[in-house]
Amino acid sequence: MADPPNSAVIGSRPVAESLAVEPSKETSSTGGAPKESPAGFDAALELSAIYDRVRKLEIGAKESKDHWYSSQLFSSVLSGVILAAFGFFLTGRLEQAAKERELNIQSAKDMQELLVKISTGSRDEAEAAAVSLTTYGPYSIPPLIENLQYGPERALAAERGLQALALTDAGDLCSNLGTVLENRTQRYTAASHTAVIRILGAADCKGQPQIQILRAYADFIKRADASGPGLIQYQQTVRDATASNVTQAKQELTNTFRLLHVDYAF
Amino acid sequence: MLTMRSRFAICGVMATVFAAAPFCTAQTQCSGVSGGTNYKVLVDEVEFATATGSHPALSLELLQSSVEGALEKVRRVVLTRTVSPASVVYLPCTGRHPQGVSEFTDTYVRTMSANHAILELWGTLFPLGGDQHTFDIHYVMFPVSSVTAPPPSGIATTQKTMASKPTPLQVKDYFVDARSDLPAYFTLAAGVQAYSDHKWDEAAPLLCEARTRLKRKPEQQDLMKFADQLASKAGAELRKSGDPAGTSLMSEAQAQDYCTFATTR
Repeated sequence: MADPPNSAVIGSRPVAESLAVEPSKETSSTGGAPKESPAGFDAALELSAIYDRVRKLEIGAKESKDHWYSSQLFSSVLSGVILAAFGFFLTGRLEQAAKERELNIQSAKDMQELLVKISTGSRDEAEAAAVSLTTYGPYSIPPLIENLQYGPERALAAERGLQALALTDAGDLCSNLGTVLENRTQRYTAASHTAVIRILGAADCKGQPQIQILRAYADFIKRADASGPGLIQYQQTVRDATASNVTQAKQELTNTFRLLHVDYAF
Repeated sequence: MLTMRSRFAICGVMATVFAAAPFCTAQTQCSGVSGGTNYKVLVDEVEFATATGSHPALSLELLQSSVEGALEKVRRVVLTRTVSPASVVYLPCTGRHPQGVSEFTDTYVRTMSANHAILELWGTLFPLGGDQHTFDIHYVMFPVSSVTAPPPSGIATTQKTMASKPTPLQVKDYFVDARSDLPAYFTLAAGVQAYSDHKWDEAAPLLCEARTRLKRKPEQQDLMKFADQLASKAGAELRKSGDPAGTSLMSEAQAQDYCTFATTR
């Protein structure tokens, strides 16, 4: 707030000096009876302004001391509460993380038994184990994908499990399947790539990244189907591949594009 | 987070699978099917079916080696002019005995075909009363079944009635008899697979051999025609490629009927 007396003080000499000098100057210049000079009037005003300001400051200080939240007791209690809440939150998070880790280790042990059943059990046992494995959610996707590379019963059981995951973990499933199809280091067999194409269609993976991957793979297959060098390139990037795998991949891609309503012509 | 509906769906699928499992006969897996580009022949068990259950009619090792010997002999004779024929692996599938053709679903057949499995065979001996037995041999030709339209049946059965309970040696002899169906179905399956793999010089003679063998079987005329047509297609491809076997010298008309050209020249 603008305060005229205050600004007058700041803009001129110190108050004590003005009070001492100004009246004598006035007396000598007129030589008559002393009358109330403007300088004397200013000094009184300034004094009262200063007094007012001091009083205001005193009242303000008193008022500010009265706020409940500025008390010493409150600030110490508040800091204690904040510290306790933070500690509680942190402990909760740590406990949760520890429990999750414990659960993961336990899940891995349980999953191991199911994976043994997929690889050694009969066709029905393998299928039942693969579907049971899906209860572990996204954790079951990598081992099921790995099983696509083995014998037909094992691969078909894994395929069934992966299709079941489309109900609960579609995002993770589609993303992982896309990664498999993108691989060009002979990591996966031609038979497993064909199965992945089939699952992408059945699981309704119509996200933009998956469609792009499928289109790129279809272009790759088109080149393999058209010429000798294209086939050699396919064999160098996909394990255990022959020309018959190219034909099969074409059939599966056509079917998957139909399911996903994607226009593509071989 | 799982929604309630998703949980019910998973539980439904699991319940169905577990409920169905006891009613289905456990089917043992055959190891060695995946991996490699070799053509694979799966030799399953031949069993005696009895009221109390079933048991193997002969040792699987003996059966597998006999099948391998018989079929490799046929292959060598047929592929004398082929420079580098594909290798064939004969897999003994211990404990495996499919209950019927219903087990060979479309997806299963396609998966087998993707792994270059060409043929699976198994047998069952049923007592008919007295000493009489009937011997059923089943063949599944995976490349034939996975061919696109029009698909001929790639599943076949041979049936023989025997006056007395056969000995293991008799079972083996009947199974791998050179005049039996096994060589015909093998050459057809291997020929179709070779055709799919663009191995024209291997496909054409194998398919012509299958055609000749199937001609004698009135009930398999569809398969015979299929083998004949595919052999002609392989012949046309051979003519285009100008292979050293001399097929480039044949006319277009001769290429249209490749098996007649190959057998009469």
